[in-house]
Amino acid sequence: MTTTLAAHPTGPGPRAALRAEHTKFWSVRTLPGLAVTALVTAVVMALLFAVSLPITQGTAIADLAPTTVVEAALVGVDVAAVVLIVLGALFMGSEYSSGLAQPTFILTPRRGRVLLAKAAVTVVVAAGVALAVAALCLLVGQAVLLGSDLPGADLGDPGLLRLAAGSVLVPVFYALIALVAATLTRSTGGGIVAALVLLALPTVLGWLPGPLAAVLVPALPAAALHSISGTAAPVEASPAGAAAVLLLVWVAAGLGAAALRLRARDA
Amino acid sequence: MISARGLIKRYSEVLAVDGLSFDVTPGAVTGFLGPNGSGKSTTMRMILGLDAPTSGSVTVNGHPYRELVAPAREIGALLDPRCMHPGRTARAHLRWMADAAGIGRRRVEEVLELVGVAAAADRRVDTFSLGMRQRLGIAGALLGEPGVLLLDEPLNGLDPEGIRWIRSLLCELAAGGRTVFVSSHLMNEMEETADRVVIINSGRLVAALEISELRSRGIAVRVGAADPAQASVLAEALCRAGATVAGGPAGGLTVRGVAPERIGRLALEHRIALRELAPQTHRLEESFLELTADASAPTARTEHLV
Repeated sequence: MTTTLAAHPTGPGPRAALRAEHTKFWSVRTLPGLAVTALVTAVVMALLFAVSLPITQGTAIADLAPTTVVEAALVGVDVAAVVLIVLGALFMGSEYSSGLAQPTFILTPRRGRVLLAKAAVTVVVAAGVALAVAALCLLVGQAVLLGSDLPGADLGDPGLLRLAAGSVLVPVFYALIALVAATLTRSTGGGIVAALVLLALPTVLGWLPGPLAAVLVPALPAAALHSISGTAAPVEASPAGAAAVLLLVWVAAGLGAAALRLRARDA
Repeated sequence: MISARGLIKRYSEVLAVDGLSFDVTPGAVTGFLGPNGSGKSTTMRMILGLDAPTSGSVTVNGHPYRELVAPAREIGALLDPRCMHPGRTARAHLRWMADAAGIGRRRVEEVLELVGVAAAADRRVDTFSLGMRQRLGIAGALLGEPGVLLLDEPLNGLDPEGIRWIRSLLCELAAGGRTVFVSSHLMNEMEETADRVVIINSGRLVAALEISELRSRGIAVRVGAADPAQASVLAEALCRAGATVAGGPAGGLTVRGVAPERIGRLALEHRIALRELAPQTHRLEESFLELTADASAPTARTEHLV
């Protein structure tokens, strides 16, 4: 018995789980397909947001500040977030719906490693898609301005760059939350619903009486994301550093709860 | 080597496994038998660390599964061949498994050849028949060249050719010194494959013995003394040897629990000439059903397989 163990003194480590989840992600059509869908949908919506400004704002594009047009196009990143929420939830949820969780946890009995590996793949994919989407949204906004024979926005504007960078965090964070929620509920649907609820919660809490909202709203991830991108409402605003810490606390708490649940429950 | 000791699993109100103790030893195919719902799959899930025992323990090569350093190199398992992502190809399915186990990609091609799925390696799993999924699942179990193999109902959904293939594969693996543990709810499936059987019912151990012992245990032998007057002497001797003896017409006896050659020797020792010594053909299935039917008072034997 001990001799067999001695034959394999080192087993597969966390990197083996990471490699396995990477292989899993790229060997089905749905998951990479969702990444592409996120990109295409976001860019199309960015164009729509920019050209529909005269209708939504009641002002001709020529009368708007160039940065306002580009900012409107950057809302496309939030559209990508919704599609990437589905991706994050499906990455874990399909393990349970297809029964794949069984061989997965037989091969990697330290289940927390599976969660961390999936989280890492999700973060890298979501960040890659979100970066590309943000860059394309900036260009779409600029193209709308130039196409209307208007002067373009200054793309080096610090406020605009901060907004673009902060926007990139939105899909990454919510895709990760969807993965965590899908782990806790063992279902893709549960992951999607929970992440969308968290996304919509600031609006809902805004309807609460002032003092209550003043306590709850700043603790939400949306407040932190808005503080980082420089678009925070007064009730949400906190320094960017504090906001980053708040986001990390949300991520750590979510991953911790999901890891504990994986370990405690029968697979 | 798989060892269970006082294994208990309770799901809220249901006691799925109730104090199982048994050993599965290397170099043999051990059948894990019991009616549907008797706790076989639950036991296998506990062996593989998927479910935690309510109490008791089960170890693989002396360690609880979750503490194994390189589990895929110790034990290969196939529980349910439907547990695969339908959109992945056979090769991709084995590749992620190899990655998770820290095994090189070359081994993937080897096991694809070994189970005869190489020609369909780039087809999506949702186009596979259950039999092909069984083969692919077995390929996954063999990836780490483990010393212990655990298969849950591997003959389900297989055509006769596939059944022959699995049987010879299992026997080959056991002959190579591996521990092979195979569950089934059908005794006659195991009859030609298993060297030993662990029989459970309602989560409790009914018997753990060699197939040959099971065969002789249930067998009935018709015995007749040449001189009917000596029948009672013979019956008494057989009872002392542990047999169950029933009387028949003209001094004939129906003997159970003692092998025919032992009956012959007993008769010789008592200088009784026989006119008849006829083992009744008896399917193992019947011994199995007799054993599992009496669930209320199982002849629980906790002796270990030699």
